[in-house]
Amino acid sequence: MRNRVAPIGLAIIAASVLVALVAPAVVPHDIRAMSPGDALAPPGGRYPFGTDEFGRDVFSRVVVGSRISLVVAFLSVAVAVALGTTIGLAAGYYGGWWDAVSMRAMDIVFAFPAILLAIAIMAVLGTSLFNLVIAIGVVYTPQFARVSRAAALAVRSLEFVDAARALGLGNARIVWRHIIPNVLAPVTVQISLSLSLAILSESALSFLGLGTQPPTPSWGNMLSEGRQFLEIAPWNAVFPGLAIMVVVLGFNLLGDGLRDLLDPRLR
Amino acid sequence: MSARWWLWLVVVALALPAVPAGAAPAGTTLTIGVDQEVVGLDPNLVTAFSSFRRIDFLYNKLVRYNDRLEIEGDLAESWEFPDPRTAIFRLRRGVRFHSGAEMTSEDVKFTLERVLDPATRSPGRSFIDVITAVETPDRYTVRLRLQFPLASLLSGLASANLSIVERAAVQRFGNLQRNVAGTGPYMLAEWVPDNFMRLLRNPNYFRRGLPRIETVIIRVIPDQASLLAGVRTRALDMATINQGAVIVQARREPNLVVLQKPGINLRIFSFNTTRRPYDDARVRYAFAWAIDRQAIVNTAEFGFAAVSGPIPASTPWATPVNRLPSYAPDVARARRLLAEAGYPNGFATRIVTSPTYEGGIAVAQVIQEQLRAIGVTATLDTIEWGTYINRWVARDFDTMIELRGGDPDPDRFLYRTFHSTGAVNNFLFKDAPIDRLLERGRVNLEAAARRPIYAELERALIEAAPAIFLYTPMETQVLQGYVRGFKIIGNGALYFLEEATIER
Repeated sequence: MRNRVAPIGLAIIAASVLVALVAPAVVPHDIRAMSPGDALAPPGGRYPFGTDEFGRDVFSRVVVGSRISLVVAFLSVAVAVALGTTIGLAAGYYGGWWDAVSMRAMDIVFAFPAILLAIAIMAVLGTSLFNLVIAIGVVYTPQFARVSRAAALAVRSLEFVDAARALGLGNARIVWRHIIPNVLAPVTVQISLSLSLAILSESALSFLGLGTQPPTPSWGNMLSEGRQFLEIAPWNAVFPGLAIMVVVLGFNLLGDGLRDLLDPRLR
Repeated sequence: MSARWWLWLVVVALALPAVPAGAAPAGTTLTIGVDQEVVGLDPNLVTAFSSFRRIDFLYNKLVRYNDRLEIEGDLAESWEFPDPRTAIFRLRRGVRFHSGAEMTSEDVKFTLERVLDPATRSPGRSFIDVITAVETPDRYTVRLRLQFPLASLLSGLASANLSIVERAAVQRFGNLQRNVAGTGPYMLAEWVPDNFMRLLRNPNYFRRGLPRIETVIIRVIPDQASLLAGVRTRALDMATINQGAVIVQARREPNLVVLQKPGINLRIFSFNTTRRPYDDARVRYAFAWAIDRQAIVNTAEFGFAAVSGPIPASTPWATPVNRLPSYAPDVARARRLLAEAGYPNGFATRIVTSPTYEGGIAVAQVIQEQLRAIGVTATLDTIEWGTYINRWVARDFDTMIELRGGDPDPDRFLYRTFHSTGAVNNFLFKDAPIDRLLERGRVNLEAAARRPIYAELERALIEAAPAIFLYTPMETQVLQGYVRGFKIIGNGALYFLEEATIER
C-alpha cells in the first residue's frame, strides 16, 4: 500500500506505448492529407480533436505524434544510459585520474543549460531524427554518469567486493556480478525521470523548429504551430499540450514510485 | 465565445496605466507596432521591408506612388521627357532637410550618383543604371541623360532606395545607417534598438500643415499575436499584421478597423535551375501543374491573398489568372511532363523554408503535400532566418519558398529577377527569348505597345518556370477607430500617415 501513484504512472505509460505501437492502424485520418475546406474545424463529428490550419485531423496527429515523442525519448535515454553508466562505472570503480578527468568533463556538459546544449548540438549536426536522439542523449549523459559513479563508489570498498577480489575474480567480472546490480536501482529511477525530461526536450526542440520536421507530427511541433491559432482554434495547441502533460506525469509518477520502492532509506 | 470575461479583465488591467492623466493633449501621439527591428536606416543601402517602412517617415523621393499606385510628385513638382533619352525634373522650392539646410538639385545629383556608384552597393542601382549623366542646370532643375529609353524610370525613382539624402550629411557621417538626413514628415528623436523609435513632427515639412500627428512611436514586438494584443489593449494605435490567423482575430474585434488592400509582393516557389533535375524546364513546369495555388492561399494565408501570375495580380499589367496556363491544377498533365523528362515515378527533393518572417513554412508544407500526388517526396529544410538569407544569397538550394518585393511597373520586378544578368536572378536562369522580351518591354514608353509584350512574357515565364508564381498577399494594417485619414497603399508604404489624425 506504500505506493499508490507508481501503478498509475505505469498504467499511463503502458497505455501510451500501446497507443504508439498501434497508432498507424487505428487513426481515422491520413495524418498528411490536407483538406483546406475543413481547415480549423472545431472538435466534434468527423474530427474528435478538430483540425489544424491545413484541415488535417488533430486527433490522428496527436496519436501518431506519440510515436515520435516516445521513440525519441526511449532512444535518447538509451544513449544517455549507455554513455553515462559506462563513464560513471569506470570512474567510480577505478577512481584515480580517469575519475577526475571524466567527471570534470561531465561537469562541463552539466554546466550548459540542457536546451541550450541541445540547440547547439542540433545546429552543428543538422536536423534529423537521429541527430535529435544524439543531442538529447548527450545532454542527459552526465546525470547517469553521476548516479552510477556514486553507486559504484559506495559499493566498491564493501567487504563482498573485497572478498570477490580475494577469490581472484577479474575486474570485469566484479563489475558485472557485483557492481552493476547495485547500480541498477538508482539508474532505473533516473531513467524514468529522464524519460519525462527527454519528452520535454524533444517537444522544446521541435517547438523551436529544430526537432521533428513537418509533415511528421510531434507534440512539440504541433504545439508550436497551434500556438499561432491559440485564440481562434485552441484545440490545435491544447491537445498536444495535454498529451505531453499526461505522459510526462506518467513517467514522473513512476519515477517517484520507483525511488520510494528502491531507496533503502525509505523502506 | 463565452469565457471572454477574463480577457476583458486583462484588457482593463493593461489599459489602466495607459489612461492619460490629463496632461498630454489628446491626438498627438501615434504608436505603431511592427514585428521586426531594422538593421539600418540608410535609404540608399537597405534591402529589408522593415527598413523601408521607417524610411517612409524620414525621407522623400523625387516621385512617389499614390494609393491608386499612380505616380505623383514628391520632391519633384513636375517632370518631362523632351526626348526619350532625357528626363527633366523640376524640384519644389524651399524644401528643407531636417538639419535646416535647403534641398537642392545638388543633393539629388549626389544621391543618384551615390546609388549609381558600384562601390556603394546600393540595391537601387539596377533600377536606374540606365542613367549616364545627372546634370544640374540650376538649383531646382535636374536633367537625366539615359542610355536608352526606360519605361520604369519613374517607378525606380519612386523606390524608397532612391530617397534623396543630404550631401553634407553623408560626407560627414560616411553612411546614414544610424543617422537621418532626410526631408521627410518626421525626424528621428530617439532610437532604442529592438525596443522603440520615437519620431517627432518636422515643423518645416514642405507639405504645409502636414504631418498632423505630433509624435510617432514605432515599437518592435516580434510576435504577431502580441501585436494584436497591443492594439486591443490600446497600448498600440496601429499595427502591421501579416499572419492570416491574426487577421482573422482582428476582424472579430468590433472596435478595430482592419484596412486591407491587394499587395504587390509575390510569393514564389523558386528553383535553382542549374541543379538536377531542375535544369530541365519540363520538371519545373510539371510542378506548376501539380500545385493548387488557391489551396495554398486558403490555408497558408487564410484567404487573405490573390492567386497571381508573374506580374502581381493587383496591377493593371497582369493577365487574369484564368487565362494563364497551369492555373487550373492538372495532376495527370504534371505526371506526363515528369515522365517525358525521365521521372515517371517522381524523385526526392528538398525545400528551403523558414518559420520566421517571410520564410513561408506553411506554404512549404502545402506544396510538400501536393507534390506527393506526382510522386515527388520533398523534405523541408526548416532553417533559422539568418541561415535562410545566407542560403538565398549563396544560391544554395534546390527549391526555396520566397516572398519577392514586387513593383507596380512590370519591368522593374521582372527584369532584375529573371533577366540572365538580373541582380536578383537567384534561379541562375538563362533564357534568350525571355531576355529579349524583357529588353523590349522596358524600352517602349507607350503602355499600349508594352502590354502585348508583357502578356507574352507572362506566358513564357510560366512555361519556362524558373519559379512557380503563387500569389500576392494582402497588405494589412489594424488600427483603432480613432485613427483617421490614413490611406493604405498596395506597396505597403506608410507615408500617408502624414495625413492621419487622431480623433477621440
